[in-house]
Amino acid sequence: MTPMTAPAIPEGGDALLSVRDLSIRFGRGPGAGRVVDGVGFDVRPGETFALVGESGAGKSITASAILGLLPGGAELTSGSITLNGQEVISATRSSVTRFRGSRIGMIFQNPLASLDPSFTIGNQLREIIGLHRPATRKRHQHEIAETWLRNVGIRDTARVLAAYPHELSGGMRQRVMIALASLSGPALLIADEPTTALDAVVQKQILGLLRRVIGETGGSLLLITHDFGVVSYAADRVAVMKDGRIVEQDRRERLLTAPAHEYTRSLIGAVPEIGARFRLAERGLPRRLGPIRENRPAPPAPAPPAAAGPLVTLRNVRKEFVVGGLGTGQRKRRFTAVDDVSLRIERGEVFGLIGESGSGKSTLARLIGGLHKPTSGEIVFDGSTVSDLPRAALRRLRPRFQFVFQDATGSLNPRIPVGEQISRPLLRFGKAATRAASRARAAEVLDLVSLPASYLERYPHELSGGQRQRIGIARALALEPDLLILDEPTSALDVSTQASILDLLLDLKDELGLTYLFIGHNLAIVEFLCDRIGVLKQGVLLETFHAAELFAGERHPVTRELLDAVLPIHRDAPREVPVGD
Amino acid sequence: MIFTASPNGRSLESAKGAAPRGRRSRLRTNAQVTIALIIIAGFVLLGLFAPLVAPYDPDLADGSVKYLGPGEQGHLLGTDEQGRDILSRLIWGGRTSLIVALLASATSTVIGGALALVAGFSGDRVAGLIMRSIDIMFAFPVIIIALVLAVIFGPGTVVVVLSIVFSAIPYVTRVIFAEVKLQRGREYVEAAESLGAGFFSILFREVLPNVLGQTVVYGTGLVGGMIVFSSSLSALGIGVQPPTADWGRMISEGAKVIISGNVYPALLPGLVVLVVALAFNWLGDGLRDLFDPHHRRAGR
Repeated sequence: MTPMTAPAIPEGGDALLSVRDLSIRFGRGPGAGRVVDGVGFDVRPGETFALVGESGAGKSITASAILGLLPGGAELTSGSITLNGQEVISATRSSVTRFRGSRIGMIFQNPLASLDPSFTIGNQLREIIGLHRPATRKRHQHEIAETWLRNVGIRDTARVLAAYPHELSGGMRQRVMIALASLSGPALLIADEPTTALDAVVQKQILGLLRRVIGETGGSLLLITHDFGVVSYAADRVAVMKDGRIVEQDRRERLLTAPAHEYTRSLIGAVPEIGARFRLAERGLPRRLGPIRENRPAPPAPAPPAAAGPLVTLRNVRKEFVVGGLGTGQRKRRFTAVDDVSLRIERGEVFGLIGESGSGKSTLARLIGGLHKPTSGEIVFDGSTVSDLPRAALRRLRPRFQFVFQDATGSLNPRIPVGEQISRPLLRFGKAATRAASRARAAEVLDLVSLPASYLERYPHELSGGQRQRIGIARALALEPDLLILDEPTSALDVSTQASILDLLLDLKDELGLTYLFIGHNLAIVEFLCDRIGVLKQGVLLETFHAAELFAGERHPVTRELLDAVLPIHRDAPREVPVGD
Repeated sequence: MIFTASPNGRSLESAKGAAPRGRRSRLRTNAQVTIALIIIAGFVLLGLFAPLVAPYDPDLADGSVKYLGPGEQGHLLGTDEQGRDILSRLIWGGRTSLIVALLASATSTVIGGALALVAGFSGDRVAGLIMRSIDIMFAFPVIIIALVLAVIFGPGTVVVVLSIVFSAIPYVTRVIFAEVKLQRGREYVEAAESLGAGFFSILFREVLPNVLGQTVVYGTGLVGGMIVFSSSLSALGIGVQPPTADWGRMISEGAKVIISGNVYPALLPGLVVLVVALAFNWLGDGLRDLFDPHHRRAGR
């Protein structure tokens, strides 16, 4: 059945969790798809085992099988899963429920969805304590809950215990989730993309915490991730999954240093790393993450800027939001999202904005893109003061600055074919005289983003995540903008898709002489793509610098913190870190 | 209240997350819509050609043939407490009931939907004004409205339709408003704005297609309740005037004689209303699925 020989499972003696020849299929009959195909691995006591792969590789479904929580429609066709030598698959429902939680703890990607919104954190902790230690008294339960919150690095335990999930930050919620999953001292903790929804800075803290917790409880961690930085930071051994199969598994150092499988190599190569662009430049290679696109005409030298002066200038821009007020049950108060920001974006440059979530990056982007009006200050786009323009004049200017949004799925209308979504604005702005002309232009921009013209007829749900983001870029480019505002366009994508989108953006910039405003929270990506970088914190622009000056001595502590949060892929030879400039 | 029943069927969201439904369920949807259309068209045709089809004069009371069972003495479905032919009354009654129900549900859905769209996309003031007015409409007793309208227009179909519309609008608006609010938060609205779409273009070309499914389901779901509701106005003497037949009043008149063992005068119109209401629910459900591109292209 399996065309390739299953990679040998390193004999580890007494494994804690042992998965053998696991196969799971979805659906029945000839249309049934095998989502997991002959997967086998061992997790040894005390180690962190990472299951790596892109979306659809079958990582999460494997974890569900271990927990006995396969979704409806999925069927286990063969294989065995043993925990401490005890078969899990054949276990009855009640015994599965018993060891789920007590011997296996689970941490999900989105802690807001997995915590019950209508109960306080204290309530939820006590409930779990009550389940696993029925004899515990109420007061003692409270103490245990407090201890565990402290264990996961929460200091103001009284506030958190009384809080509802929505009152906590994402990182806090994930800490609570870790406490919930590990307070019964499970032998195995499964963490499914535990940090994907979190900031880079918080991600590092949470990963460190997970390692510490299993160190203390003496358990093992099965870490599911798509990020080789996470693997490099946290894992002892790694298995790489693709299309339901494990293509390679090995110790972390060996797998990262000398990946045996082509697929592993391409995945690791797709990760943008700090300083990669300069290393590529030194070797005379173009700044691209994947293979260079061929059969393209050599990009004409970018047209020299027609007019002098910066494309965008911000002077003392400030944006306040009013939150609460009548009918919301909250006191009315003002919240400053962007605080006195002044900056210039030159023609033809890529300007990067970076900061933690809530730092005001997206608000600033929407101000520049004319979707919000600043409370005070002015925004000048190529000579016209956008912030003061009347509605109609602003609309006429809109084609010149276009957005590409973070969530490609959400930013496309689900009920309208993508071709129509591209051609409508063309007709609206008179960029195409007839319907036919607008279709032709739409086909043209699809070609720019390497999609066939037949995709014009498709609805967004018929495309993959990466294709949708290409449509988002094509829709923006169709209007021939001068400035493209990219709001974390790759953060929801797989590594290899992200690499191809970043490469595409670099290609397009060369071909069309565009100016980019790129917003991100991952410094490695921002540094790879951008010429100049601005760092935001709590609405304040702390500093701007050239990408090459990232390591200069005078960098702001917040920038250093962001740099520190990047999880590099450690190969066995220590990477030379460029110091200074 | 009768309009509070939430539309049956899955929400748009759940259908979105699921894997594309297969060909079989698509056929089933088509079959469902077809059957619903056949039933509705059947009743509409019967009503249209009532003078030709109905075997008797629907208002002709014949004291000698009261309470006949189905099939007795040439009366296919029997007769009622005044000796009128039930089948003929059902055929003629469809004229009033279907017109009232269709007109009222279409009008209230369109008005309520438009209010919801505008309220959902306006600033706090306009939205507040619309939604608080809706709250006031909620609080208004329908009967009072109907009485006032009856004084103005004189009792009849117009009063029935207007008062049903008035009482149904708040429900439609509330349900669709919630849906519109949800859509407003979606990024595609912001994307449309950045692509230069104006207020009405966003409302009608971007958002409307996304709430149309729910609106149609809710609107068609109202039909059954409206037929029955119109009868209570008739019972007050401000609706359709006796002896003109309508299904709602046939049920309420028949209900009075059930206790004496004569079930048919109430049961038969009740069944008809049930079948028609079901057909409209199916139609709405099926149309929603056909509107949904996830479904439309499932075969590819």
